[in-house]
Amino acid sequence: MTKILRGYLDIHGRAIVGLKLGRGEYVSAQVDTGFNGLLLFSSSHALELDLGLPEEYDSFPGAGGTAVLAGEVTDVPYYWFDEYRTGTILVSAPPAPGSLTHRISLDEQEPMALLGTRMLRGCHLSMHFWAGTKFPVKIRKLNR
Amino acid sequence: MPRRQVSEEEYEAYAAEFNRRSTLAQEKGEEIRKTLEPKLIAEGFKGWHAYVDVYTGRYVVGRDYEEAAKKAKAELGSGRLCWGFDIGVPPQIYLGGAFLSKEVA
Repeated sequence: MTKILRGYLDIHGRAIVGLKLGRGEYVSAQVDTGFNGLLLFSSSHALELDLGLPEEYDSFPGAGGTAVLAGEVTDVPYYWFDEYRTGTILVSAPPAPGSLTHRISLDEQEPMALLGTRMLRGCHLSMHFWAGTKFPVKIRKLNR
Repeated sequence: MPRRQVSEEEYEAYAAEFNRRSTLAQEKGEEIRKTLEPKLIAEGFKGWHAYVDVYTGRYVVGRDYEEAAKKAKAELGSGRLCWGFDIGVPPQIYLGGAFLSKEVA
């Protein structure tokens, strides 16, 4: 059983790890220690991945204390350390219609999800920000 | 499962429907919350998470949003539109800022 997930820092300095979804799709996920949920997908990526429109919505505090609308999608399957799981993920609200010229680029390199601290329970996260480290991001599952 | 190519038109339609549903859920949900939240606190659910179906007024509670969302799916059926809130306490989930700066700002 895999005990360590290895990731990298992208050209913007973001910590990225690979995540396998339940239907076999690999996505890149940005480790975000400011997000204390499980997984959050942008609306454009949720559409690409056929996650569907949410049926539950909430208002969450976002960066800077602003209230942000997001939706939940239940029973989304994914693998975590080779273990098959299902969970409730969040989908961030898209921009208001008509303002999509400012929306996120659908660049293949753009991380598709935020990976929050709830995913990291029972794990040790390390990030090395000096040059030359082969795998600067590591998530190790602790045996407890 | 391959990633789908999404057209601008499809994304516009998705964004419009998402915003319609989330706005409606928030408006109706906050209205219902005014009377429902004190009742739930009195019943001992302070700190739990609630989802209320804004069409029917039916609701579920769970110890966190994930448990409540699963109950909503199981007990409120399909075709629901729910608004969620943490009962009697500030929101328990904090979003990171990475997507928000690009999609919302």
